[in-house]
Amino acid sequence: MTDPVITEEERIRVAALIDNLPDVQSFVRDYMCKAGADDMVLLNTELAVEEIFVNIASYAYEDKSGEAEVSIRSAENGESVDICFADTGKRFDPLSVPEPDITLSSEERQIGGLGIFLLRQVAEDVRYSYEEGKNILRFRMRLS
Amino acid sequence: MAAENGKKSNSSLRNEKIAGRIITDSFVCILLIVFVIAFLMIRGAGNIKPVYLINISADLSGMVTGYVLYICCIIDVSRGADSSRYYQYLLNVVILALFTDAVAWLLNGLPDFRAANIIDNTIYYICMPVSCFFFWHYIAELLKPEEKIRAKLDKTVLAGMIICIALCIINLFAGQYFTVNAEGEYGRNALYPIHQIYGFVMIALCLWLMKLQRRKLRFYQLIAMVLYLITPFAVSVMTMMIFGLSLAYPVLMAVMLLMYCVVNVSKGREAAAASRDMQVAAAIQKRMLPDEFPAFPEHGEFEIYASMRPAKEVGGDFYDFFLVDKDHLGLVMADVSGKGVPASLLMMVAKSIIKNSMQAGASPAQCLSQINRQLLERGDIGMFITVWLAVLNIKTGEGIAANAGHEHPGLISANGEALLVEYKHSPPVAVMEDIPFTEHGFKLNKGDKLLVYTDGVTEAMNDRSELFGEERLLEVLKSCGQLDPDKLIGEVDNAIAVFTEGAEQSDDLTMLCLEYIGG
Amino acid sequence: MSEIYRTPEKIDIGTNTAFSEDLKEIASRGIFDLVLDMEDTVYISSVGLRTILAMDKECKKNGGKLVIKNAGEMVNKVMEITGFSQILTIV
Repeated sequence: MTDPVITEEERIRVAALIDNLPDVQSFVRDYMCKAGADDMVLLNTELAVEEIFVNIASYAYEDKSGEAEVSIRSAENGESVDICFADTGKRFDPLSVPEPDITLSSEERQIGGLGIFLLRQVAEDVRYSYEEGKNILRFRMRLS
Repeated sequence: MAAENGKKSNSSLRNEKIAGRIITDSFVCILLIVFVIAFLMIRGAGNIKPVYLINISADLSGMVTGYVLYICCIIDVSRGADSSRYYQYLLNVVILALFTDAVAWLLNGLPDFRAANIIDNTIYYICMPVSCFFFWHYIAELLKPEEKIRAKLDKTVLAGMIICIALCIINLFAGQYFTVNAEGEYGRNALYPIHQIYGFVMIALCLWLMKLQRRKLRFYQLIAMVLYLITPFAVSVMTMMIFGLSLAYPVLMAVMLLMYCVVNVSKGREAAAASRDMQVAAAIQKRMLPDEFPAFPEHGEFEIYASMRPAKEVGGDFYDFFLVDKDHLGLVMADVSGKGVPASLLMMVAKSIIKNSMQAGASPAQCLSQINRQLLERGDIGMFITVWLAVLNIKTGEGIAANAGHEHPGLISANGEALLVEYKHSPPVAVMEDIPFTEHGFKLNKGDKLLVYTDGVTEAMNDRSELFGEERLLEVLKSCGQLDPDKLIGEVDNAIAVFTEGAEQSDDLTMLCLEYIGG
Repeated sequence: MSEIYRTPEKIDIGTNTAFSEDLKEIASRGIFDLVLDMEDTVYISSVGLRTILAMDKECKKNGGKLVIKNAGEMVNKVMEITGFSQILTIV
């Protein structure tokens, strides 16, 4: 593991489509590698990113198209990385509110409580807020 | 100069920043106002044409209004309410425009100040495209057109603004819009209407966007916005024709005040209703958790204490304890995912189901299966509950516990050793239908204490983003293990308070401690 | 009659549909004694877990058994965190 600290923020914007998940994951993974994350952390981060991004891609914009913005930067202490997902879709807190289509069984749902539970376990300080018309989900990954 | 939307870092630091901002910006605003008044008095009100005096007074009123509105926005942000960044920028620009307008009238006819007059007027002219630019973004933020459309229009609006500003600067040399002659008198020139074109185009664009997105706003909001656009437009037309009166900006400020009130009244009502709902939910929630201690004074076999300190919003944590029969005590500690009214509703439902189920004789694992089934009967609910449940035989100290994705309980033995009882747990409740839950036996000896809690304890965070964590919790349990349950919980509370150093509590702090005394 | 199925390197939202269909196909052939060899799998997300659990239920319902073999570090971790390791048979 290299000696890390990158403090510059990087960000990308992608269309909120599930097909773009690999792009988002590799963007995040590259940054985490540079920051010195170990293998297990990389996998956990990929998991966190998937659970969140799939949520946004499935529900944020209903049938219209929209974008998601992902930004990532090192925390001040250099031991973790802060990641933030923002979308301009309808106001929705994946951590609190029952999701739109509640008639599906858990097998039929693409995402659900299980994903959020996993996210909460692998990531720290998972927070949602609605600011200036955007849904913002932030979390932190410890590098080791 | 505009305030940012408050981020949830250290609240006292934030308040300091906001107080600092209010003071600096007040200083600037008041300085500008005092400057105008002083200038007016020095020049002598009798020496100025009455129509200019009307303008200057209107400008001053506008500046005061703008200042007050700006402070209101900062206070909104400090309360965590939404406040549009662009509205604030717009306020700043309009205050600047009012200031430069007042100064222009005061400088008019003073040949010594010709240069200042030109610069001042140029700034005044530049304020128009800049305020249009911010207004466009404010409207676009409210109406949220599709990304592609927004991106294209943003570029057009930006380009237009740059061209407009460039032309204002060119005016310094070419004088196509206005000139200030040798006697210090300002005069409009033939090409002046061209400067106004950008403004009219922007108004048309905004009206078009409003028509496009009209479904997104309520009726009275639409009316307010149309008024907001049309009134300055009408006043601009008027002043194009009448020289001497310049009321466009004061009228604009009056309209901004109107917009703020309209938006805030509706928000205020919504916020009041939401806060009322929360208060009711919080009160119901508080009543549902057993909080009379000592509980079961007639039972000397055990002593129990529990507390739930909700975070700012209503939360989803709960605990419960009840006699299942004369020899058995049921214990529950649970955490509903999420916050707010939905979580508290689910919490109340879950608590009832668990208690009924256990008092009907279900074992912990059976109870979890039952509640899992009941919650998922109508399909996935998108929320989950982590639960720790146990039934304790108060005569023998033997018990059965089940853990559905919940934090590991702490066990303090009579000799003071403390550890977290770690074993593989089942999934949380309401994550998936039809799953089996596992339970396991345990034994409490005389003097042993059990502490169950929710993640609000271990995930309490200080300003350096460090977590309280399981180790610190264990340290407290080791050092305070001999205390009674209520004092022990008090010590953990203290330790958390010290650790977080007054950082905002972001999650419910819930703990239950049982001391087994023996049958 | 039992069968061994090697799970792919990643079980995520992209690969889960194919994975799920493969398992359904096995079930449709009446095979409910299944071994999931997860040696190649380095990554699994919640969708994959649901698929596996759904298959486990199906097997049990039909008197069979689903066994997971050679689960790697991440898979094991995820199974434990979610508590699925208590439900599934992992060897």
